[in-house]
Amino acid sequence: MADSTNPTVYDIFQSMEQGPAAASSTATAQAWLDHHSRSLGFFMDGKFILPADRRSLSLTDSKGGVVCSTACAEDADVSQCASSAAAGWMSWSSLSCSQRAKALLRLVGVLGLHGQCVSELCALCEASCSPAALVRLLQYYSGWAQLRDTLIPGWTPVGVVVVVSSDDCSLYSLMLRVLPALAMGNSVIVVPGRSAAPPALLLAQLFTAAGLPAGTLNILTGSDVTLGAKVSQNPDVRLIAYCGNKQDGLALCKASAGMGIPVSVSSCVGATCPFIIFESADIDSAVDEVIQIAFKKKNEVHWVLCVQESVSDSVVARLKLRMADMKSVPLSSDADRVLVDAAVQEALQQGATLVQPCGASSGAQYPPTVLCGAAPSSPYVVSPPPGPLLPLLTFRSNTEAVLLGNHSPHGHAASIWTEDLTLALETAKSLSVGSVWVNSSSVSDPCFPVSGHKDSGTGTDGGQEGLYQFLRPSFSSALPRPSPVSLEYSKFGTEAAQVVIPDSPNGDSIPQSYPQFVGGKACKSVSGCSVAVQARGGDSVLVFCPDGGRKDVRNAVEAAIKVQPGWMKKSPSARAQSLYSLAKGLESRRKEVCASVGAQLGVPAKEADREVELSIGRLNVWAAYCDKVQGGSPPMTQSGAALSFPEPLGVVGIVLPDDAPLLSLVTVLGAAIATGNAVVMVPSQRFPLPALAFVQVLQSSNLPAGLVNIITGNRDQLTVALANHSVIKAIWYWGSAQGCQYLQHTCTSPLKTLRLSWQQAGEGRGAAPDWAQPPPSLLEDLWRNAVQWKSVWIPTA
Amino acid sequence: MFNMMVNSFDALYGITLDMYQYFNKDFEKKNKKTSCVLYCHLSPSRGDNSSHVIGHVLVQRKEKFSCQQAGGSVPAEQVGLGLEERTLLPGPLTHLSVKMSARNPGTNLDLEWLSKVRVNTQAVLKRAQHIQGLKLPKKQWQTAWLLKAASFIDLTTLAGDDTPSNVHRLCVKAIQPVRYDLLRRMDMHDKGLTTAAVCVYPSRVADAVRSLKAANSSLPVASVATGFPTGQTPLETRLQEVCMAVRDGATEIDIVINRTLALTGQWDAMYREIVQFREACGDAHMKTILATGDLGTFTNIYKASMVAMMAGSDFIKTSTGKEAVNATYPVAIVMVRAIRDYFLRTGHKVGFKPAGGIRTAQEALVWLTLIKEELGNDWLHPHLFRLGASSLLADIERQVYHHVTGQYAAYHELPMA
Repeated sequence: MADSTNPTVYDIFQSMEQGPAAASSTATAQAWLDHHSRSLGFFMDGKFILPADRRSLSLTDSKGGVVCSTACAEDADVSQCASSAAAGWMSWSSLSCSQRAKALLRLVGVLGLHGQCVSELCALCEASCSPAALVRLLQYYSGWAQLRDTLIPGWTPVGVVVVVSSDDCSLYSLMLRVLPALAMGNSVIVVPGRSAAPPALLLAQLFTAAGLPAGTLNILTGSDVTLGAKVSQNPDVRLIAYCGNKQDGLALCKASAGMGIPVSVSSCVGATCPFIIFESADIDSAVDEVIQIAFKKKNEVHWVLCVQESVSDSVVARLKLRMADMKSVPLSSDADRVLVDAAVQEALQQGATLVQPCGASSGAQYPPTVLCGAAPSSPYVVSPPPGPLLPLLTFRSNTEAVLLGNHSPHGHAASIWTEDLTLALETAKSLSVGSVWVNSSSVSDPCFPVSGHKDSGTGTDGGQEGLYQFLRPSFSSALPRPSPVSLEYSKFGTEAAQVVIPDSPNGDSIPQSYPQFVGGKACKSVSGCSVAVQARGGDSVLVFCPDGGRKDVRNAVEAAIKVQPGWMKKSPSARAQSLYSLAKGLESRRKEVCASVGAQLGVPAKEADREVELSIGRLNVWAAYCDKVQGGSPPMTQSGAALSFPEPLGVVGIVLPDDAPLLSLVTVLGAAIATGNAVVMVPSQRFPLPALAFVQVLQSSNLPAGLVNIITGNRDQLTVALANHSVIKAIWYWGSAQGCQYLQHTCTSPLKTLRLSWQQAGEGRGAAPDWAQPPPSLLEDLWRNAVQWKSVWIPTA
Repeated sequence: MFNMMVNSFDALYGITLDMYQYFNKDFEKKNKKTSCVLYCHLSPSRGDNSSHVIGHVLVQRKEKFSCQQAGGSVPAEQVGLGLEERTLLPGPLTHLSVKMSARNPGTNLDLEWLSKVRVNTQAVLKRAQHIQGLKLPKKQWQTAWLLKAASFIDLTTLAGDDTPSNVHRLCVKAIQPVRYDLLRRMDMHDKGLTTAAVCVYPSRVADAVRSLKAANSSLPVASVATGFPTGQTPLETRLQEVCMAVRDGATEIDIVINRTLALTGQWDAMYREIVQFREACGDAHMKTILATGDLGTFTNIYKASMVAMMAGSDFIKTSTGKEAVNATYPVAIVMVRAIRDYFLRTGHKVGFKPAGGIRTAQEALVWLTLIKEELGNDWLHPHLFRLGASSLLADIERQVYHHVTGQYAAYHELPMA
């Protein structure tokens, strides 16, 4: 008899049902898990280690069955892992480039043999990653391993890199950080999220089998991402690279604050991405793509459908037709169902209409649903629930599309659909996201440099640009790292400044009062207060400078954000002209500036003159860089064209070092504005005089008013002000270790890109490079820090 | 009784979905035997495709017929373009579609609509790749799908050496496309499985009609016409060809479009030609062959599809089988999207017929998947989907043989066509 599970040919002939999907076999992966008795440990020193009585976490599959369990590392494991990585670094970095390249290339062969097991394990653990994508990554980065010294001379690996991912991060995203780190000669400690842990362990085993020296790749599992911070306490660790959701990333930033390690965050999971359909689009193709990407079971990003009003009816009509027969999507838990139901109820109450396939669903699954009539303020757009929901917004004009697309804290990616190339490129330029897919979506390739914009990240991944985070200029020696101190973050920078009373006031030489420079005007601080500036090694008051604070920073940022877009859009040669004329302006005021440098530092005129001379030269160097910092057209894996270009960050806050007060100011300023940024600078608290003298040069320059702002005063107080202004996208900081710790802890919401250098107390050189004769890699490091990368994909037939 | 005013097809579509859900619920609850008729009369103002449609949905239950008139003044029979009723058998509603007419009446030529057509080639190619990568049905599902595919076939012979004898063999094969004993073992022998039609040159129509009549079959005979395959003959002789094929008993005419007009963008002239063909066809259904291999771009294919539908084609067909490139999946995607677009705007369902180069059972399954994915199950019906093929049937039969017996058939074990 026919029943629902075994219908007759005639039944199917009439219903045209597709039949059950054949369950894919997972025998190989199961055998591997069984070999490890289904409880996985850590991978270090080139072998599996599972100490007894470690707490374990079980990983369940979609049907609720236990796949395996992973162990939680304890302190002993953490230190063993760190020393394994340190040893691994020694052996791995001492190999030649071609030896490393060969080792990575051998993995491709090993992966060919065991690809089945890897893909089955990924499917079991829902950490999607196709072996083909892994092979592509390996081939690309083994190429870079080979060419490191040829194409990136002057840079060396940082040391031990800790790569952390959150539970919901895919294996691909994880490997996109692990492999470049390895290729550059670092050893890696991976702290994978729960779902990526078993495949990561398998890969580590395969990599070691392929001849990777023991300790080069280590896997440490635990209950949450703060394990990443714990393992970073080891002094050999030099970088933390994180990928995954935003909350865990912020937790990691806070946990590792004060360790003196840069954290490169990429919150690729859970970002909201616009999917923009213009009226000039191939609407059928756009709708097909939406349906393919928006209702997957495991979505790394949340899509928001933005449709031009004139075609919204036809988009909705097609969605209705195409979705009529779609099946419900399994949710990860019953609790999610409650959240989704609540969100849909709320949407309905706010007047949204639903597009859903007919037929109800129950339990932990939900039908694909489009919520028409959403607004940017709708709660399900702001914080999307975990389910197959797709909000649909409408826009009127092309500019409004960009506004909608940009109106989100995320800046991960966007997909735009139009057959109009000009419109596509204009929109791609204006969207502040890392990847723009024109008439396509969700494609990725390691040769594209991508930076998460806004809250989506602080680092660049992919391409040559993405390698620099794993390298440091070879001139700088590895510095001792500070250790975190207990810092009361709310009290930082609130201490009253030390008051200096001029001890011997002699009537005829009352120290001069210098103004600061805000919004293109030389002015006093808002508070009206001044602080005294003393010469190096002297007690007498040299001059008075304004005591800037929060409100000065606010005014400066307001002025800066007004002119920055215009400055960014100027042609590079126009920016170069402005910098050349700034150099000329400095030349013409050479005498005054020399005098201020001399007076401030108490150095002979000759030495002061040399610093000014070098500063003029430096400005000319940056002027020359203006039109040399450029993107390119990386090769695409499919036919079509792709563009990658550097974009300025926006407004950059800079706290300047004490060393070479004029030269360092000019060097850093040049890097920032040559690439199109606006700056708010805090000169050295101890030696602000040269900066104040430079204000006069700026005043007579033809830079737009507000592009460069100089605020003097208490460094900590101004650091706090910079840290708490959300418009400021990046902070470059030279200062105390506490300041670094404060910034790393505070600049998480919204996320700021930080470049921190701590100076040891006293006259020690600290992290300061040689400003007078910087190697090319220092300048490169500076401008690379001043830009973020965007990739635009334009696939063609 | 339902009585609703709708002002666009989109809304109408929504209502039918609502009704569908309502009835399903109703049947589950009461398990009542109810027959219902959905009447729908819509009057799209021809030529105005802003889809201002006044519609009226009536539902009759328990034989009690009631009719509400659109706007209260026009008798139902006179409204719009025709009235179609669809009587549904008692039982849960499984299929409820809005159909105004069994045939596509066509619309005025709308050049503005054509001018807005955009097709992104790479996205279409990617979609085609995706569809080819989808999992195909297995086991009895595969066999059922293959039998379905057989029921869509326009069994074709278009060769210079066609004679009454091989046309006769073709007709007999069309009536019994799969060996009787094989069908019997699947309990499919009494389900009236035949191919959809036989397709021949105009001069062989009479032979085919005679053979089918002799076998007591009502299988339609399709004839290619209008200077097949190139269409490079004068309009007058092309029209005459249609008339003669119809006179000889062909109930389906496969016409070819004038590629010269399509390639030079003379859509208006092409529209007028096809309208004339449609008139010449009379009651015979018209399939319009676009010869997509000659049209150059996807945009051109989309536009040609649209013009053919506006001119009243019942089917649009990919190719003659004589061009260098025949039925490909990307081209099919462009054409079925045009069909969907036309349906969304006018409410008329136009059929689709890929032809040329479809030889294996595997390909047939992909074609069915493509239609199911893009247009839905509604189109998986011989009045909306055909496969133009000659050697495909043999491979389908071999696969069915394998499913039933577990063995691979030797060529001589299966009847030749």
